[in-house]
Amino acid sequence: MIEFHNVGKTYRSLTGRSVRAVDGFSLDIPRGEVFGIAGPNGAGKSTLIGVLLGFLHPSDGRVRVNGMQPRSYIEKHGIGYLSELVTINKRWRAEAALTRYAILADIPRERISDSVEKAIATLGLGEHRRKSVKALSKGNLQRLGLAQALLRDEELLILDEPTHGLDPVWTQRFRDIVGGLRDPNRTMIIASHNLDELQRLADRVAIIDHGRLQRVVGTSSLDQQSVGALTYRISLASGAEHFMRVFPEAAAVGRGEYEVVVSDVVALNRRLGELMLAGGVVAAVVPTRSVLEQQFREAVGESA
Amino acid sequence: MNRRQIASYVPWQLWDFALDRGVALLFVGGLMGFSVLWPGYVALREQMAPELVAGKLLEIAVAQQVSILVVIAASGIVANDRIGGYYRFLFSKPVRMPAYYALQFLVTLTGLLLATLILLSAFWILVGWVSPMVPLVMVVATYLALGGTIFFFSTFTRFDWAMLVLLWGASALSRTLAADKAWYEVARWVLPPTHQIGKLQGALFAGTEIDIAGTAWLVGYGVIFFLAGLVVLQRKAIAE
Repeated sequence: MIEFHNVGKTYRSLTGRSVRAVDGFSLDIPRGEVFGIAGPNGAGKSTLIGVLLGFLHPSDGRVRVNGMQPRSYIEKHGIGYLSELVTINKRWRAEAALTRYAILADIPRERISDSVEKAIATLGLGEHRRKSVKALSKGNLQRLGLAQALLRDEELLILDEPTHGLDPVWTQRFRDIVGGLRDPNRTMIIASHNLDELQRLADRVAIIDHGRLQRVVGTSSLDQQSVGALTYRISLASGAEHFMRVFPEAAAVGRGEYEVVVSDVVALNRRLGELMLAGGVVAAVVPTRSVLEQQFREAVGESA
Repeated sequence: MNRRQIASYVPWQLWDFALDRGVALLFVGGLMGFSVLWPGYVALREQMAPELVAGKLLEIAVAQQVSILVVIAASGIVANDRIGGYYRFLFSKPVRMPAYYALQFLVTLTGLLLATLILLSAFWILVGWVSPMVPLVMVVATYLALGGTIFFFSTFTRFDWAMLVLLWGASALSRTLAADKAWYEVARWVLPPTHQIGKLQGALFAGTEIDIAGTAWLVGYGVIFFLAGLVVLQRKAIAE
């Protein structure tokens, strides 16, 4: 569906200074995948998305969406896009803004009202529909941005920092919405600083830093098993006396919790089994860092 | 953009124009009209036959205001979307940028003509009836000439109006100060034909023959810039 081939982007100022924002970026994203992009500030995520939307031309390499130039694809099919900064004319009212975007999305006139109502209901904008954009709070503006991206059943959704400014309730709601949008014919790209979010939503995550692709990490449980040593926090309801025998290297962190390092999840399960057979009652087992977080630290650390 | 999108979206663009520029046009037009035309009206009433006063005043108003109103209306057509970042959502939809902004250019002309009619209505009430044909023709010609040029600059700089003032100012200055210089023979074909605005207006108000070639040069100059602007929109990435 999306192909980056050796893409590079250099910004040049009028004074001749240049900054290499993206360098030698190659990646294929198949149709139907939910793909994450993670990276520290200034890593090149927004530039990459700008190139993917055709708002920026690559200095080197090529980008194709369904075999087409990005702008050609968008002009023909349209996409759902939420930018990092939600920029909508401040004079527009929320509902009117959605109506305009629905017109531009080429939704048939008789279906515009339904599409707008559905987007308003999905994003909980009912009480804000008559407010001007400038009167919306940051979270509501973000929801309006999401609503315009979801007006139509697009085959390609690009969401840049989609939960930025959302409260915990709407962050969870957003995850449900994205979960509901999963479809073999729909490709979603989510760029985020929030690794936990990408771990939950994406099938794979590209970690980029200094404009370069550092690695692509799978987020499924199978991928978790393929990673090396992992640190878990184990909470005990009872049986602390057995714990240090089964996990002699564990570090107590207080309140009946311990941190243990295991080589893989199979080893963890085997030792937990021993503990429970000995009479220990486990209340919770939580990785201190997700696989993605661990890989992110390694990748960004390595390239720094 | 297809016909369905255009038919549905034009009223919204006109509404935006009314809020964003229409109010400014009426305010500036009204203020200039009141501060300049009213003293002129008082003076002319004592010097001319009453039936001639309105025509003379309108001629003064058109000469003073049309270019300024065109610049107010046409500046920032593309640049404002780039500065505000509004292009991001607009052009994630199945919309071609040149088509969108060509439509915006025509909507701006429509809005400008409507604002001109409102100002003329005030003129008719306060001064007297004069045919709107000449002012409307002057608005269209000046819009195509200046508006087309400013549209081109708007595709790549936020200082579109300043670039226009520089270019047209350079043209007017060089025509006045360097008309006898050898280099001016080349420059006169490159610089905008500012003098044609005055010539066209003079002919229209006097009812004499219009210099067709000169008018075509005036309008064509802006139209070429407008078309060049569409090419820039097609080829240049909007966020560059």
